[in-house]
Amino acid sequence: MTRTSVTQTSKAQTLKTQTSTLPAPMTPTELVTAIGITLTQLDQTLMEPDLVNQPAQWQQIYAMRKHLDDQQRALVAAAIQADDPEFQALTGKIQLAIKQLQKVIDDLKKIDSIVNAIAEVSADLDEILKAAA
Amino acid sequence: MTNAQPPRRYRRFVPLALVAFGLALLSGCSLDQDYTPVVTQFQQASNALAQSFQTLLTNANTVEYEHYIDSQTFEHGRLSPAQIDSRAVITSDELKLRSDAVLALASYTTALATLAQGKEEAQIVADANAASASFSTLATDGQTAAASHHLIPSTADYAGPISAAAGAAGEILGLIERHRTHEEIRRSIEKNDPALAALFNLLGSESKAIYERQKSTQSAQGVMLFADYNREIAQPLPDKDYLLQLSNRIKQFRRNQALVANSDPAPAIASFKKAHDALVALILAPKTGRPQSLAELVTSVRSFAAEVQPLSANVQATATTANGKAATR
Repeated sequence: MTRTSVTQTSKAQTLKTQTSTLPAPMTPTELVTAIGITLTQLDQTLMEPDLVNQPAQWQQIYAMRKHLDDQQRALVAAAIQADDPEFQALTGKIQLAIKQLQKVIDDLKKIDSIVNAIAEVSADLDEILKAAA
Repeated sequence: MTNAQPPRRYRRFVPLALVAFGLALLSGCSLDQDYTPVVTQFQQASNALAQSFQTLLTNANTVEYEHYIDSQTFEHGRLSPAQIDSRAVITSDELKLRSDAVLALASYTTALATLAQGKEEAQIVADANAASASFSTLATDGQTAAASHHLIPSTADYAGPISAAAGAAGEILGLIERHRTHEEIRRSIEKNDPALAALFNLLGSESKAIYERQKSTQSAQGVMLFADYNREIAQPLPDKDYLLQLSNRIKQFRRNQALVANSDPAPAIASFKKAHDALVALILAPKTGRPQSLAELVTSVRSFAAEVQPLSANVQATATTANGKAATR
């Protein structure tokens, strides 16, 4: 067995294990919608005067919001293979990260958790967009 | 010698009368069943949907341009025409392709409605001709859009459904235009109509994605406005005129937010498909099942019209009002 095929087998196995514990995969349109809902929720947080008055934290979340917005725009224009197992596994991971984000998004005392959850969503989206490029 | 043939001047009316009789059989309608109100309502709703869809698509680039300008202004970033133009999400060829797809589906379904209604033969053939012309335009648009530069990758995916839909509709409409028997037309509808479903589905899912972008960009404007307002009031001496200007924009933003929230075209496109399916079911239903099929058609068309009416008003209002610009100094 060559090294490449070992890597491919192990990648496929990892993917299989991940997929079995993840929520059902989404279509590209459902993903665009889920990101839209996340953006709207983030915006509600960014509109809060208490956060606006913490410039560093506000700026950090705003920068992430901006990146997520660019990613949503890129998703609309991306050629995605909806039946690709990697895409499906990533949409499952994104759903988990969004769930995590929703638990903390209203709590301005948990800025770090908010930032971590958005970072996870963005990282998975980057993977999807990289594969579609 | 006796001449059994009818007088010559009546002879040319015989085939027409037979066609009309055949179409009446096909429609299964008796004289006391008047489909006119439901068909008129369907036609009005599909025209309104086509117009709303076109407005939404036309607005898609404007929304992205303005979002970019607002964000750059808010962040004191540089602006250039080329950078703004690079935010486009749809080309004019792609836009025309999608608008024409809705128009072709509307005119095809209208032709089926006229047929089901058992209208006079000339009207049935005229509507079938109009639908054929719409599909012919659509097929040309499909080729143009696929061959030229496109921004939406699924533009390439249109080729299959358009070709299948144009072929399917062409076969059905051709039989109507050539005055074939009702059984032939009915069989052709049964066989070919499912090919149009892919086109409905494609339009529905794409319009959802475009609408989501409109919602996200509009929401971002709120972030900028609220940030500007809350920063200004935190100043030792807030500028009252500026605050007033911002508060007016926040009010406008909130009004637009409500409009955008109700401008999702996907449910109306799904209702459009449902009304079309109900119409086909009515045409294909056995005589005993027709009252129920007609009742289903009436319900579907009403629900379609109920979806389209507010959508049309909201999409129009969203396109004509500014999307609540972020005020920055």
